Formats: sequence, structure tokens, C-alpha cells
Amino acid sequence: MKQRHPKVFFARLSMLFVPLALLFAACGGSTSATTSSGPVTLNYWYTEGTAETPVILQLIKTFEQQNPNIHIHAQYQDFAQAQSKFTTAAQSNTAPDILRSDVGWVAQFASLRYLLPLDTYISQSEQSDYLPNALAYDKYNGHLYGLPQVTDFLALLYNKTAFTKAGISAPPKTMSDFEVDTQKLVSSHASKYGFETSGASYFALPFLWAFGGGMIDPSNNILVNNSGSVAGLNFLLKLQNADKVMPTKVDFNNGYNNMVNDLKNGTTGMIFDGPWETSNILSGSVFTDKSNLGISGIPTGPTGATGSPTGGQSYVIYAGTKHPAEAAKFVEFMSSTSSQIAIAKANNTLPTRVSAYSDSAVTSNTIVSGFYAIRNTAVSRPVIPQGGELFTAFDPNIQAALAGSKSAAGALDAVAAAWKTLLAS
Amino acid sequence: MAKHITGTSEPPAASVYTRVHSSGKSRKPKALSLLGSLAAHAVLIVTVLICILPLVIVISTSLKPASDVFDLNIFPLHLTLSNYQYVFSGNFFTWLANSLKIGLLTTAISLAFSAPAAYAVSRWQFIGKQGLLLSFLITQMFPSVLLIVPLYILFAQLNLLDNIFGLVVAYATTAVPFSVWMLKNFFDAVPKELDEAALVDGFGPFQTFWRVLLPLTIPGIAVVAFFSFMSAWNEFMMAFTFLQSDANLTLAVGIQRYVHPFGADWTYLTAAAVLVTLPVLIVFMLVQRYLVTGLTGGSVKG
Amino acid sequence: MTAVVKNASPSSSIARLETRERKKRLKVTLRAYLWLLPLIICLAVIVVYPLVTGFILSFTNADQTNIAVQIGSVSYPATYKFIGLQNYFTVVRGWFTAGSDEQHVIFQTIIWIVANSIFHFIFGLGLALILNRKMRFRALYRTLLMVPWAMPQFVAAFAWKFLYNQQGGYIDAVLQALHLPAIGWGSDPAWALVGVIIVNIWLGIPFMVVTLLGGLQSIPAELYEAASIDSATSWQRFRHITLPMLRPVIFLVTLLDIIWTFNVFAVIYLITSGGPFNRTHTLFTYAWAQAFQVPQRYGLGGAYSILILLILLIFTVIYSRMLRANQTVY
Repeated sequence: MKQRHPKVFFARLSMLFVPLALLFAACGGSTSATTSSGPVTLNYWYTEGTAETPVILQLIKTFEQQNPNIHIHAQYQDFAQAQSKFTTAAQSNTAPDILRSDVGWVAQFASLRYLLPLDTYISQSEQSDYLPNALAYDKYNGHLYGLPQVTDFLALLYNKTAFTKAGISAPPKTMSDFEVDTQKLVSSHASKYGFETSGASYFALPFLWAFGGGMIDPSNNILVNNSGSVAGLNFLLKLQNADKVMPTKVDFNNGYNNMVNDLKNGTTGMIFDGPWETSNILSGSVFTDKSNLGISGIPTGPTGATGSPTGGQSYVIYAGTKHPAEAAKFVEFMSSTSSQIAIAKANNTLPTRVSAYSDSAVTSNTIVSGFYAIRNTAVSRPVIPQGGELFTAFDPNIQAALAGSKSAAGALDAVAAAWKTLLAS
Repeated sequence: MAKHITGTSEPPAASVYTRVHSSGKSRKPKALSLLGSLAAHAVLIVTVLICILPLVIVISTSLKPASDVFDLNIFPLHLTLSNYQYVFSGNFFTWLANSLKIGLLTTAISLAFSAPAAYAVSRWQFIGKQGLLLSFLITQMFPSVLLIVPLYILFAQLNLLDNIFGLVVAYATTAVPFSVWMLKNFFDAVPKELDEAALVDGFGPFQTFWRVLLPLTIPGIAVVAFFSFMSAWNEFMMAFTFLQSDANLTLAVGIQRYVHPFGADWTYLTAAAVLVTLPVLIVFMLVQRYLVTGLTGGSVKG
Repeated sequence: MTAVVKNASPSSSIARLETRERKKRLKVTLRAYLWLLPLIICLAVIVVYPLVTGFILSFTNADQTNIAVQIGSVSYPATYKFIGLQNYFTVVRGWFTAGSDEQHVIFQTIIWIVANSIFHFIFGLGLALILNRKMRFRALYRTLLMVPWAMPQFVAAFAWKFLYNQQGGYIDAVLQALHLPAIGWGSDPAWALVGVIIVNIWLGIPFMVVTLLGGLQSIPAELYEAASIDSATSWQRFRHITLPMLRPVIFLVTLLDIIWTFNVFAVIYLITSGGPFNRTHTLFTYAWAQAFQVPQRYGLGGAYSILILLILLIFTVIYSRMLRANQTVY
């Protein structure tokens, strides 16, 4: 009941609120200047990581200088959220004009009518300059819905110093060599772990392919629970549980970040990762000498099979854009050979245009050429609308297997069952 | 204030008294109480440490360079303010402005709608009052997931999804009934005799409300305002579901960009976290006593 | 209500008085609703209308492929269909399917709520009892104990996620220093659930301490003085004075606490996202995931949330019966 002093206090507090409200009113007034006439403003969502962003913003600046009547409002969207955020935005007609989409989402977005067909803007001759594997992801129902910015696949990334210390002369070519090398790394204390994985199914896929398994074949047969896939997953589980050359438990909350970090600081000798992460990895303490990072193909399995998931990112245009021509112009600029070369130089990522590979800046980049050299191991995923949802059932089951809650066969059978219903829908 | 909300009065206590009366042996040696007091301090110190440790670690990490994130020193070896610089150079102030706008608008709307209603339910006996009060109570219990799906569909049609005004509407769904409930508790605490005196002075209901009741309950109103503001400021789920563009995010959603499954810049995240937390923390420490009073409807002194 | 009628004097005509009373009551009612009108309209638009929409939606197969969308200038009408109670059947069937995610989610929700409310209460009451004594630094302790409440949940969640990191996090580092194996906060389903529960316990203790402390301080000191004359032990004083006097407060704050705990999203989503393999989802976060994670089944999510509301309502009715039995007016 003693309310004397609080009253004084709150009287003062409420006085504080008045200028705050005024300030807010002032703020409100100044933000409405976006829809002025004259230059066209295009919203663009980019998903590049912190280390990859500068070159993108630089290219946008160049584009704006060349096209003074087009302003690009570039906004960051984190990759893990971009799929659902773009869906939401498209449903409410507030989607950005251009999105940097994962290649796995393009068919789905197109089937939901969110994307603008680009056939009229991009000529056939121009399309022929793109790597067929990369461009295939952007085609749906006979139309072109995107232009690939980068293509990628996983490679074996390793710490050369640790290899030398463990007495390993060359990166493993087969999975059995790979297993021996992980053991050498650990037993010689060259690194705490021989290998690390993120806990996401994407990073376990190479094992499935190497042992003769797969995901879904072009005629929609499910391969994910065949004997090869089960053997591949069992091999990974053996590395973790029997050989103990991996962390005994993968921290799924921080899986990918821990995996990258541990290569960066020398905790692990090898990981599977793609070119997009290399600029970050090279900032690590053991890679002050950049040549210390080794790149090699995914080791082959007992029958000589190998495989690495082809991924990549594409520019797509929202079907509801008010300025399709300008948006197409921006996409063309961003995927021009010179832009692709600039991005490749800065981020060590793989261009998608054949002509970019004749540039000396690209060919002399050891990381790009390292990845490009092993492109024959890359396997494409099926281009189906459900492609964006395949990992929804895949990830939890791979995690259950890694955590020991399910056997490899049990986990992959569950994935196959979920995919069966998904493909039937 | 406590009296007319809860029915805790003499009877139970009296019976307790007689029961206690019949039993008993006495002992209260000094040494034991000293030991007890030491134990109490020990427990409190440990608890307080656990309570503040995460905050301390967040502050310390925000002052480290990225290479030292996992070095586990509470006192950074290499002090740096560059993380704050980085956060300021990004969209932090945009998010801050959005959070402020949403918080203030939610507060203003919920007070404007709830104050007259709270006055009515506090002062007058009318048909359907119990049902109305009950419905406010039920609305408060609504899991927010109940409204988020239909609001999403409706907002999608009204182009309100990636929009801070849409979010204000969404927050008002819980803030308004909540404010009615809290304000009613504060209004109840003002003696009814004052209303009667105002009536004698020739005040109508509006004048009584505006000139007598509101000035007397400014502390209560401030508490309700603070609570609405804080719940909007802290809300994550709806903001995360509804907002998409970087320029429209609130702080709660915005700072996620620093740590996500494919990249973890913990130093930037912690710097942003410190900037979000400290002002709130300070205000909170000042007002928490009154918050409790409002929340528990005066059944507790606070 | 009855008080007014009682004042009527026995001599005059009761019938006339009653009609006058009724008229007056009608007038008051009319006036009250006039004052309530803005609020009622507001709630009708922003709560009742969406609620009805959501209820209807829960009987449809609405998802991202078939809701009405406008893309640019082209409008595509909604094509979802009524499917009766199918969504509800899907959910309830899941609850009774041994080993299904849905059934795990039910158990996880029960563990989540029971563990949180019990520990909130035990720690809250224990600390309140300690702080209720006269002691040095009491104000300082009390203020510092408020930190978890004052920290926004999304900040607290990130802070704990940082501590829980199995490779290099602070907790892991301490364990390594003691040569103990890493705890699977992010890999072992049981530990992951324990992890998020710890965070929520941490967040909720201050509210409990403050409210229970307030309740303790409202207990008249004379009661304890009388007891101490009668030389009651401290346990007897606690059992026979403190607990009965505190009961109304306890009921109220635990009810609030349970409802809040049920509605926690940020802690679970930001730390584990419901993983590993859905083993830290509660009904609440799972319902959200059904509706908003690709393929965004709004109908199913709606059915989930209606069921959650039913559960909460049933729980609250039972609980308020208990409240009324304890003589509080709510």
C-alpha cells in the first residue's frame, strides 16, 4: 500500500516516454520515401555468408553505376530460413523481386507459381554457355526459372600439415584408405579427430553413394534404403562408434559450425565440405599458409563407386515482380561471365559458365581448380517439386542413427517410407 | 490492496495457531543460527552466480576478437570493441527502431482499448460481467499458436505479413485482454468512496474516470504499459513467423542472423545481445516490484 | 449485486422497488457495454474472427500449395477442401501410435511442464524462504536474482546454446578439465530435453521468488510471534502457518507458470529447433512446426492448436475448482 514514492517515480518514467514517442513519430515520418517515382527499386535477397558478402555488394554497386535508373535494395536472408521466408513472402505478395535460391528449391517454387519463367530473357545460345548439370536444376516443365550463380559439390578437405605429421603422403583414394588415415591422424596425435561430419544428411550422402547406394534415381525409385546405402551409413557409424576417430557424439545444435571450426583450428584432420565455405576455412588459425588446405575427391567405395551431391545457388525472379525486365537485367549482370569470375576470385566458388573457366584468374585459383578437377564425382539430385522437402525426413533419421537411437537400416527405411508418401503426393 | 482479491483472512490462521499451540519444544542456539546464516549466504551466492553467469559470459564474449571465442577466459585476453562497431554498421538501428515502434504502438493500442473497459468492469455491476471477465481470462490462456495460423492466412491476403503493423495487431490479441485484467486490478485498489465523492461533485462517469481514477492509478498504468511494451519487445515466435525482410525485422529476430546453422559469429551475436539486454535489464530492475503487484492482482504485496 | 437488494427497506412496496432496481441495472449494463464497446469490437476483429477462421481451417487440408495467393496482379483462389475431422484423427491417432513422433511429443510435453513447474516452485519457494529472513546483502541478492527474468528469452536461449556447445562450450570445457566425457546436450535426446528444461527453469525462478516472497511478507508477523511463544519448531511454523497462508498465492502463480511454460517457443526453437530428431518438441512447438515448416500444413497445425486449447481449458477448469476450494475469488 505504500505508493507514495513509486508514483513520483512513474511520473518521471512517463515523462521519459513522451520524448520517446516524439522520436518514434519522427522516425515514422522518414521511412516512407521508398516509393518515389523515377528510378526503379528492386529488392534482392542474398544468402551468402559473412565472408562471402563483400564481393556481392561490390558487384551490385557496379550494376547500379551502369544502370543509374535501377536501384538494388540488397537484403540479407539467412540460408537456413530462406526457403520458408520466400514461401511466406510470395504468399503475401511481398516477396523480393530477386532471390538467391538453393538449386533444390527452384522446382518447388516454380510448381507453386512463385517464379517468373526466364525463357524470353535468356537466349538459347546464352543458356548453352552454362554447365548442363547446374542449369538442369533451374528447368521445370520445360521452362527456365533461374540462372545458376555457383555450383558446388562436396570434396574431401584436409589439413596437409596434420597429414605429414601422421605420415600420410597422399589423400585417401578409397574408403578403406580413408579409414586407415583417420586412425593414423588420431593415433599420431596429429589431430584430435580424424574426420568430422555435421549430422545433416547432406554431409553423409557421399558415404551412401560410395557404397553403391543413393537417394532417388531419375525414374523416382527410392535408393536410400538399399543395401549400398545401409553399408555406407554403417561405415560412417563405424568411424564414430568403433574406430572412435570422430567426436563420439555429434552436437546437432551446432553440427555444421563445429565441423568447420574444428578444421579451422586443427582439431580435425578431414571433413567433407563445399567450395562456399573455403573462404571462411582459410581464415582459420592452421591455414595462415593457405596452401595447407588440401582438396581431394570423395574416396571410392569397395566397388569403385563414388558420389558427391551437386548443389548450388541460382538467381530466381519472383513472378509478381513489378519490374520483370529490370530484374532480368540484374540477373543477367550478376551471372555474366565477368561477374562470375569476380565471385569465383573472391569466394573460391565454382562458376557455372563454361567461358569463366578459360579465365586465368579462375584457373589459377587453386581451390576452384581443385574442386573443378573432381567434378566428375558430382551426382545430381532429382529435379522434382518435392526436392525441397527431401531433407525434412532425411536429417532426423540420420541424426537418430548417429545418436544410436536407430540402426542404419532402420533409419534409412524410415526415410524411404517418408519419401514414398512424399513422392506420391 | 490484498484484502478484496484473495480471501486469506483470520480463520485458517487461527486454527493453525491452536494447532501449533499444542505442540512444541524450544531450541535456538546461536551457533546453529550462525551456521544457518552462512548456509543461506552460500546458497544465495551460488544461485546468484548461476543467474548472472550467462549474462557475464555474453558480455565477455562480446568484447573478444572472433579468434578467442572459445578460449574460455571470462576476462578477455584481447579486449576489442570491434564487434560493437560491426553490429552498429549493420541493420541494428533499423531493428531497434522497428522494435520500439512495435512496442510503443502495441502499448498505446492496448491501453486505449483496455482502460475504459477496465473501468467499466471494475466499477459497475452489470449483466454478463462474469462471463466477460472469464472470456478475458481464457483469451490470456490462448496458446499464441492458436491465433498464429489464422492470422497468417488473413495477413497473407491483406498484405500484412511482412509488416510491422500486422505484428502490432497480432500482439494486441494478447496484450489487450491482459491489460484489461491488470488495469482492473489497479482500479479495484482505488476506494469506491472516491467515485461517490466525485458523483456528489457533479462528475459524470467519464469525468470520474478521466479526472479521478486515471491520475490516481498512474503507477498501475505505467506498469501495464511497461508490461505490454516488454512482451512486444521480447516476442519471438510471431515476429519470426510473420516478418521476412531484413529491414522489417525486430531485434528478437534480427540478431539471429549472426548465429544460424550455417555460420556462427558468436562475437557479433553477443555484442548485439548486450545492446538489447542492458537497457531492458536496468529498467526492469527499477520496476520489477510493481510488476509483481500488477501480475498477481494484488494478492501479493511485492 | 445482492447487497443493493438487501438495502431495500421492508416497509415499502417491494415489487416497485424491484422494477426500479431492474431499470437501474439495465441502465448500468447499457452504460457498461457502451464503455466496453471499443474493446469488444477490437477483440471481435482481432481475436474472435481469426479464431473462427482458424477453427474452420482445422477441418480443411489447407497447406502452402492450395491457399489463396496473389502473385503480382494475378490472384489464385484457394483450392483446399473440407476433409471433416481427418486432421484431428491424424493427430489423435499419432498420440496412440507407440513410438511415433506425436506420442513422443506428448510425453515430452508432460515432462517439460511437470519438471519446469516443480523445479520453479521448489527453487522459488526455497529462495523466497531464505530471502524472507533478515540478512545482510538481501537487497543485492534479490536484485541479482532478477537477471534471468529481465533477460529477453531469445537472448537467454542463445547464451545457453553457447554454453551447451559440445565442442568448446564452457560446460564442455569444465567437463574436459575434470576428465569427464562431454554431455550430449545436442545429440542425446534425453540430455537435449534436460538442457532446454534447465534453461526454462533458470528463466522462471525469479518470478516465483518475487511472488512467493511477496506472499511470505504479507503473512502477519503476529502469527509467527504467537507460534514462537508456543515454541513451535521451524518446520511446524512452516507447515502450519506459512504454507496455509501462502496457498492462494501458490495456486495463482503455479497456474500462471504452467500456462507460460506451455507457451514457451523461443527457448526450444532457438536452442534445439525441436531436435535431435523431434525429441525436444513440445505440443506447442510441434504445432507451430506443422503449420510453418515446409510443406506448411495449416489445417493440421490448426487442428493441433485447437486440441491444445482444449487441453489447457480442461486443465484450467480443474485447477480453478481447486482454487475455489481454497477460498480465493477469481
